[in-house]
Amino acid sequence: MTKATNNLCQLPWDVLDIISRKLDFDDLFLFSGVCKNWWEFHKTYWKDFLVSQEPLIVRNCYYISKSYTFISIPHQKIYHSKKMNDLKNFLYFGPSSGYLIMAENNHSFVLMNPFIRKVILIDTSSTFKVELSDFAYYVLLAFGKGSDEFVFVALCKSSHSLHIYQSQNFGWVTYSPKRNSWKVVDFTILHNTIYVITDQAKIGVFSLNSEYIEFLKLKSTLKVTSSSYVRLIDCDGQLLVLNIISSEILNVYKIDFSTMKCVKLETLGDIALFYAPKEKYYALSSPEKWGYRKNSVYVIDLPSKKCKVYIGDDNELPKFIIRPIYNNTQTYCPPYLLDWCFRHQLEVDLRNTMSGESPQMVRASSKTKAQEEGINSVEQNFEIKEGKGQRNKRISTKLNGYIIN
Amino acid sequence: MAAEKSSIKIITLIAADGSVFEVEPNIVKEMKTVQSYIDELDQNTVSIPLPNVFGNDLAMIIEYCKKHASEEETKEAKEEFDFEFVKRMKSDDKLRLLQAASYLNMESFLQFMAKAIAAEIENQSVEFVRDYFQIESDFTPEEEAELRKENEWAFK
Repeated sequence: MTKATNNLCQLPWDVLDIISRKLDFDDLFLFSGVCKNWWEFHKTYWKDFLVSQEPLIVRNCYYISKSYTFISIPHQKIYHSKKMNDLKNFLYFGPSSGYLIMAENNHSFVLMNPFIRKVILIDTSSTFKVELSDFAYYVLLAFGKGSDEFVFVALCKSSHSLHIYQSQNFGWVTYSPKRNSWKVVDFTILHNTIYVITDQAKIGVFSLNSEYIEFLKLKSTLKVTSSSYVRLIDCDGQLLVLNIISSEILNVYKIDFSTMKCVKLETLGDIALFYAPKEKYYALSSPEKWGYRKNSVYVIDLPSKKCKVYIGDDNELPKFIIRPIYNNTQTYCPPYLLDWCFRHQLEVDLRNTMSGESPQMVRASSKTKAQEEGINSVEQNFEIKEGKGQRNKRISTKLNGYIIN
Repeated sequence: MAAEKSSIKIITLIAADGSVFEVEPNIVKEMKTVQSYIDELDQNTVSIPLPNVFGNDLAMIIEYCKKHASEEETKEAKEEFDFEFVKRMKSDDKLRLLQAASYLNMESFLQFMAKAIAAEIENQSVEFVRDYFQIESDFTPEEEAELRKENEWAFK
């Protein structure tokens, strides 16, 4: 028999896979530099990691470490990179295509992707000043297929200005609502088109060429009241409108482009919604593939630092509760920033992007609403464990229930 | 088939150095390689040679399995055991046990060992990791350069 410690370079890939899953970002990349076999393994491992659509929780703890970590709930794993410690003084707007969108000063956006170790700086000095407060913008970043060229869209929450940057021509286009009685409150990109929604729940298409918003002529309209608000999200090729009526009632509509109707959904079907503080919503189709449940709403509850799952049943949307961040009686500022982050890249066709021509017909939805087998609305808690970013070792071992030190 | 299996009282495991271990069937359940061997046999007593595992290592693995198969032990006691178990291992013990776990196809023990090893190479240099695994770099200088470029933080 050969001595067991020989030939460790040839450790089977399934063993390398198990070790890799225990490692953090920086160690993982270092691991790939040991020998050729491990490098080959790492390339495959990382490719799979990057295409995963599993949402991660982004966390920044202001007081303890002021550094970002990413948490995977299904895998009970915390990721961190030392490089992210450099970001402590940056203002945070949101995640998109695996990048954290931030700013350090008022003349540029900083886009940082810890998964592919890339940083992009976008200068705004010739066009506008970046608003310097956390969550000041809704942001979206999408790349051309197989290309480094991208489109970046930022909607300022206070001024309601829509800023679009295209890397191909290094140019910003800004749409400001000065003359209008309505404001753009959210947007998304679907089928190479920028869709916007106004505070009055009107949906429009923004044309980059004419810098003009053309509203869709829908046969039915949504009602909004002073206490409700709307969000626009795309999911699985569909344009969805969320109408948040109260902290417990959510209505979801689908824009049916063939009939130009706004159709109210009875259930979320094969979709899960993700809520993060500061009224941020994300959607994921076929969530079960990534360890999440369909027809569910995952709510990050900041006061308790927990992620709560609200599951809908056969013919009902999930009921859920969003607790206010600020308590009425005291000014309590939670020391945490928590958000959902999707690491996979959003893609657009840059050649005919954002032309703003009338929206293409969305293929007739062939998706039958997969029925849940009679699950009632129940509430589950996934605790987001507390811990210090830099002391990752301690936390991650604790998460898995081992005490290894 | 199930009835036949349950009639096996003691399983004899023979390590690479010839040392012999007698264990109860529930202890080897976790060792899928051994279990599938037992399942194929139609005998009351089984003796299984394990040419890839040394006696010392096998003794440790059996100790681990016994602790974790026990229904009397509390979760805390098992965790405490795991902690001490890792503490008394040297680096090369860990690597041998990792390989043994892989060979014996022991899922949870493999996870456990991988975790212990990951903890050791955390925040270390490539040189340390190579030394730890006793691996010599087989990269050409060109490949090293390419790798470094691939893994470094890039500014656009």
